[in-house]
Amino acid sequence: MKKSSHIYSVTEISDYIRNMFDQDYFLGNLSVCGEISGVSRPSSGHLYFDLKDQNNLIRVTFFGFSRRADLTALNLKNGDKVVVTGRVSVYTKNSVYQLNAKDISLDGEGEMYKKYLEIKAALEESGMFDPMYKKPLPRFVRKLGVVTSAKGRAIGDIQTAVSQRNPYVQIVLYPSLVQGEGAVETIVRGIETLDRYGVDVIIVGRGGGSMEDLFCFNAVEIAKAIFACNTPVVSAVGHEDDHLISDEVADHRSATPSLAVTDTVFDIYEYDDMLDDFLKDMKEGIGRRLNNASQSADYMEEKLKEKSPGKMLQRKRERVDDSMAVLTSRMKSIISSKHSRIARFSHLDERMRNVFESKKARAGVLAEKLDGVSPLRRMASGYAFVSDEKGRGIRTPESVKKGDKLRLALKGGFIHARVEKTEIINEDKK
Amino acid sequence: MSEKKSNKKEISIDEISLEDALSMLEEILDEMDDEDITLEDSLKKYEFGVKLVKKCRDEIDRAQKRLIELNPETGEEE
Repeated sequence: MKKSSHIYSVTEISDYIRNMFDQDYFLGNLSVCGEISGVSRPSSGHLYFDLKDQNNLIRVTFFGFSRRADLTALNLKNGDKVVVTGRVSVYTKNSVYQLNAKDISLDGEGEMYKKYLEIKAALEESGMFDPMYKKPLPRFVRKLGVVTSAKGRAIGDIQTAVSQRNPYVQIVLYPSLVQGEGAVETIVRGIETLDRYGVDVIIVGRGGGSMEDLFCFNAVEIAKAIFACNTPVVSAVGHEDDHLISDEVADHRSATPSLAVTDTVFDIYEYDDMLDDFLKDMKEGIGRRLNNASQSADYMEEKLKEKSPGKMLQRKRERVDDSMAVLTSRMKSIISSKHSRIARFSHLDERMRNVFESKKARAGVLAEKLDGVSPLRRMASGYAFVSDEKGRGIRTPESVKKGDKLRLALKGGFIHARVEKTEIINEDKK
Repeated sequence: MSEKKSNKKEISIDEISLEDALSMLEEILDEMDDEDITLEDSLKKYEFGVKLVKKCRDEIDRAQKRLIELNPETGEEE
């Protein structure tokens, strides 16, 4: 290849290329969809990421991103599907072309979710979700209003669940559209119609589907209709993981239409069992009370009988009999004890004889002793017993005086004498 | 208390809602368990309770229901 006649600098060529991009009308304003990867938020406040699809990627730069509060609220992260609007230009310093973004929005479901959040925030702000507005569900639903498609799975599920729990519940269906154009209007009309018609509770819902399919249940119009409804409303849209505005504003949220039946319709079989239990418990209660009363009556009768004259007479007779028996027994025991005492005295004769003999022998000894000290014995040996006229014993010479009459008792008789003289012999002097 | 009881007797059983009937049944069972209640009172309560149970059974229309579908235009039964 031949060298060209003019040699350009790198900058010249870079500027040329950048100029070509900048002048291109198409590249000046376009929207590109793709998935975010390699997101980076330097402290400068700019946002950098790669926007990619299955095959390629393009570098995205968003200058001053941090100042865009509406976009930072999206919390963009790797994997998010977004639509980036801006212009493609060249960064000449390292020969890179990039998309300079002016706006970013969530793509598809992301977009819908963002809308859902916006509606939710607005209605929440208005107070529509406040628990104070929630009406309690009636305990005994007999007329069940349903707003859903006549051809969808939900009404079939609801009918099955009702027939299992309580086949006597009357289902009143307002057939509505549940997705796409016209759905919101028919659902609103259904709620209003059933409210006027008169049912105990209204289930509004549908079976599962894509976010787009379910999205009409986020409509503000439906939220307002539910809020204004005088009849309690249950929202049952999609599956457990689906959360919609109708769930927030309704008086009760059920995860699925079948569960809405469980939550609203009372189980007739449990109800009948409960009534049976009431009857049984009451019967047992009254039986217990009658039994108690009968026992009390028996007790009182017994008490009365005890107080009757016949019974008292009998009791006295019994006491007399008892006393007699005691007496007899005591008498017997006394007699028996006397008998045994008498038996103990059976050797009395012999013992008395012994005692008598011993006393007699002792008397003999004593008589002899007595004889030894007898005054008569002394008199027999020549002693005399001196007494005055009156028979009082004279023991000392001082007790008589000359001329006193004395009587001297001797063996064989008395001598009457007169005192001639007394002579006192002092024994101490001897 | 005695006033409340006498008021209750004046209410016709037809005027009592199902919810109230069930609450009353629970109350009756509690009262019948009370040691101090006389036999006569408990018999009265038992009789009233049996009537309430009958009412609760009769209140439920035991006919099998067919789905009513309203006309989306008129809002009337079809």
